Amino acid sequence: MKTKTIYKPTGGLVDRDLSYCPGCTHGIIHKLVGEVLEEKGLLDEAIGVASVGCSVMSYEFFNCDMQQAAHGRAPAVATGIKRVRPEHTVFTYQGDGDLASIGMAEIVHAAHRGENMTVIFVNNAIYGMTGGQMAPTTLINQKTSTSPTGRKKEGTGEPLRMSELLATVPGATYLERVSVHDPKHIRKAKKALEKAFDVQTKKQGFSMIEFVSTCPVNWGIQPQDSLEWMVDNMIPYFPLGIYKDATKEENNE
Amino acid sequence: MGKVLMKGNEAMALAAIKGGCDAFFGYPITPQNEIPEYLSYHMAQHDRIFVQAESEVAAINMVYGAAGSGARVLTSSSSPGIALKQEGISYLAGSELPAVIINVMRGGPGLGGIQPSQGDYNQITRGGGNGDYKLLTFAPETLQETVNIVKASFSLADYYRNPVMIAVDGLIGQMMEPVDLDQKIDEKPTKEKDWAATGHAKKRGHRNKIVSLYLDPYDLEKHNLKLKAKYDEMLETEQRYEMINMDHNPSLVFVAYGSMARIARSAIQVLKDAGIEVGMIRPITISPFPEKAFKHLPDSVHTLLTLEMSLGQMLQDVQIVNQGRYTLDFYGRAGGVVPETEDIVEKAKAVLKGGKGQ
Amino acid sequence: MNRLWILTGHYGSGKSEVAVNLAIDEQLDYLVDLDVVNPYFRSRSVHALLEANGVSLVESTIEKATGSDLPFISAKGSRPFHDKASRAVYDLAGTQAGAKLMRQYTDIIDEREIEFWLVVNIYRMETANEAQILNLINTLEGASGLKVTGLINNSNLMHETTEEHIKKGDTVLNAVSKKTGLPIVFTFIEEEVKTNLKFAGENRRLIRHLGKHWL
Ligand SMILES: Cc1ncc(C[n+]2csc(CCOP(=O)(O)OP(=O)(O)O)c2C)c(N)n1
Ligand code: SF4
Ligand SMILES: [Mg+2]
Repeated sequence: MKTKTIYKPTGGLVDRDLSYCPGCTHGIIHKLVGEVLEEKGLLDEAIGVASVGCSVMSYEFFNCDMQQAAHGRAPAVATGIKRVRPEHTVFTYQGDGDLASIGMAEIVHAAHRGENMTVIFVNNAIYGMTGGQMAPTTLINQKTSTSPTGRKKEGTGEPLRMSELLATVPGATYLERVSVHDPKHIRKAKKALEKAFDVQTKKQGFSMIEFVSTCPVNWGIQPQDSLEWMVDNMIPYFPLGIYKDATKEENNE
Repeated sequence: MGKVLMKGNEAMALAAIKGGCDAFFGYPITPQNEIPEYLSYHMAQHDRIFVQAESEVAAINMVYGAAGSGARVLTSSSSPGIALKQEGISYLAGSELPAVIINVMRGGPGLGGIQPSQGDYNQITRGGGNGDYKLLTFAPETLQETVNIVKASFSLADYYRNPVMIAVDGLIGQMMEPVDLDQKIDEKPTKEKDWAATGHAKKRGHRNKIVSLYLDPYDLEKHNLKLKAKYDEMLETEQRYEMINMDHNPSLVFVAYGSMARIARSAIQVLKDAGIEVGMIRPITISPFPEKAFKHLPDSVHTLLTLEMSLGQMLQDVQIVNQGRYTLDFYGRAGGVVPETEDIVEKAKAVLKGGKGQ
Repeated sequence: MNRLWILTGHYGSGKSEVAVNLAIDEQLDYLVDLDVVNPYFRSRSVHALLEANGVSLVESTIEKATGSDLPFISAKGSRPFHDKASRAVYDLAGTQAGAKLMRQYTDIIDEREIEFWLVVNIYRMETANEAQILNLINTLEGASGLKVTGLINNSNLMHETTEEHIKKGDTVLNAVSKKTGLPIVFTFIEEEVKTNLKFAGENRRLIRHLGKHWL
């Protein structure tokens, strides 16, 4: 499955090369977020929070004010920002190790409080930055540097599904899982991001868009095959779709 | 087994298995990832426990639980992760639980960088967490010394019922050196852990409780004094250091530990070749600080030059023990910058000329 | 000998030192540092030396950023495959984690252009004997999708190395060579070791460019 989509540069990103590996979807996701921020005219007021993971340098890429958080704490940092600057658009950009492992308490409680912020969650089923260790989202039997014989349910559990989990938190407003493996899905992902930022602008509360993502380097797969691996292995376990839309409930009432 | 070539982190992991480590709890962070990676495979091979925790906070509390129920426990991390573990370390000390903590230090503060540093010195030697407590902390220089200390650390932790830290900078974790993993080491006599909460209250005839809470301030003070007595015993019996080149009547003496001592050692050789004799006090324990070493310096000594990969942290300890006796000078690098031998040689020459280097 | 030399092996077998030595001695056009595992002592740390010797270094997309552990493999890593007149050495991180990185290039690798050499130090516990080395060959071939084409004897105990150590490595690797038919292409001899012996393959002095003398 080879995809070639030509993007026009977005003013939402700083004019410099992204540093991600070939075939890594962090790059496409950055562009989508940048585009949405730009198209919605949010760049002059948005404040982003970079997490610790391969995207730690996103403070160099998003063309708006940025703050870098400690590993896992981005939703707490964003809470502080949002409470002080409620009229500003606040978003975090976090990996699965950051959000679903060390930062589990912060993400659950930000959702629980219904913090009016947008979380961009990039789930590549591994710790990319530190050299491919097991993440909570690592698939069963997937080999990583700390599950050298493949992840086993016994002792390490089954991969955590964060969108599903957060859907059970009453405070969360909008949760959707998307993918960027072909143009159709990229368009859908962008729609989801637009929705999430709209939720925030309308002060409707906590929104998170989960991207099923790749890490060809640590998966040990060539870049062009990594999308295929993701579609075949990750999406069946992490189905795409809207997991919660409390704005609908509001509309219905 | 004979000598093998090992990487520092890997050697520490294997030494822990040889030292009788029953359980490891940790979380990935550079530059110590080889420790959990090695143990994720080898602990299972040895029928022991390995858990990758969800965070350093969880890992140290797993250590607290496992140590409280009587196991020999290890965790490892690097500076930002060690900072997160401080609460748990304070609980371990307060509840008098033995555990071994490896800190492969990198540059800070905050996320800092991944290159080697000794910037956690104050955090380590001044407690780090809340309350009146101390860690027994080793700061080895070579992999052989590191391996021997890791192996012995479990029995030391058990003996004192206190957390033991092994603080190395990233270089020691990442470098390779020949080591003999089976060298004989001195271990403290093993005592039965009759205090552990093992779930045998009936059989034992009384309940064991692992707590750090004291409702009556007088009781807490008594507990604090008991801990203090323990730290005094460590101060008396555990100070370790090496004196280098002291029998050549140096007027200048370096004070340096870990990788900095390695560089200083090569500077001493370069200076010697140029006809200049410089000595070195090399702390092997940094907590307790080896104050005894400073009492046995040759009469020729005039100046102590403290060398650190931090900006004057150990220097404060040198100032405390020095009490105005010798002239003090300092050279430090930070942020993960490792000085070259020549930098130390130049600084030493400048100090000897009476000028201030750096 | 084919023009692209890919070095694999157990981690800590000395691939990076060997890669730097080969790049300089053989005046190769590129050294591609694909070590995403080790934060220190990577071949990229001697970029100035390589440049001075006319070797182009390909490393992370954020060059010279030794303060971070960001892996960020550069797309330039595939350049030597396309630049048909060039000669290059690829320095992979150790064991499977490193070898699997070669999967990135599956579609552009032409087996007739590459050598996939196993660097062995028998003083690493995991490659101390014939059986372990044979096993490692299997693992690495599985992870990379490539066939090992030759062996490099880099048996050493660093500054404690003696002639005897290299000889012992020679014996073990000769046994592996006999069993597998793989040639021993090079033997690296620690710079200070005094020896008149001739070991299997081309004999080369190993100059430690990555480790400082106080290490
Ligand atoms: C307190 C603390 N612990 C550990 C680390 C090391 N660390 C950096 S990034 C990371 C995991 C990154 O994985 P993920 O969030 O999935 O992001 P990815 O790199 O895969 O995009 C870890 C464990 C750290 N920087 N700080
Ligand atoms: S290591 Fe993985 S997650 Fe990180 S930039 Fe490379 S491909 Fe992306
Ligand atoms: Mg990840």
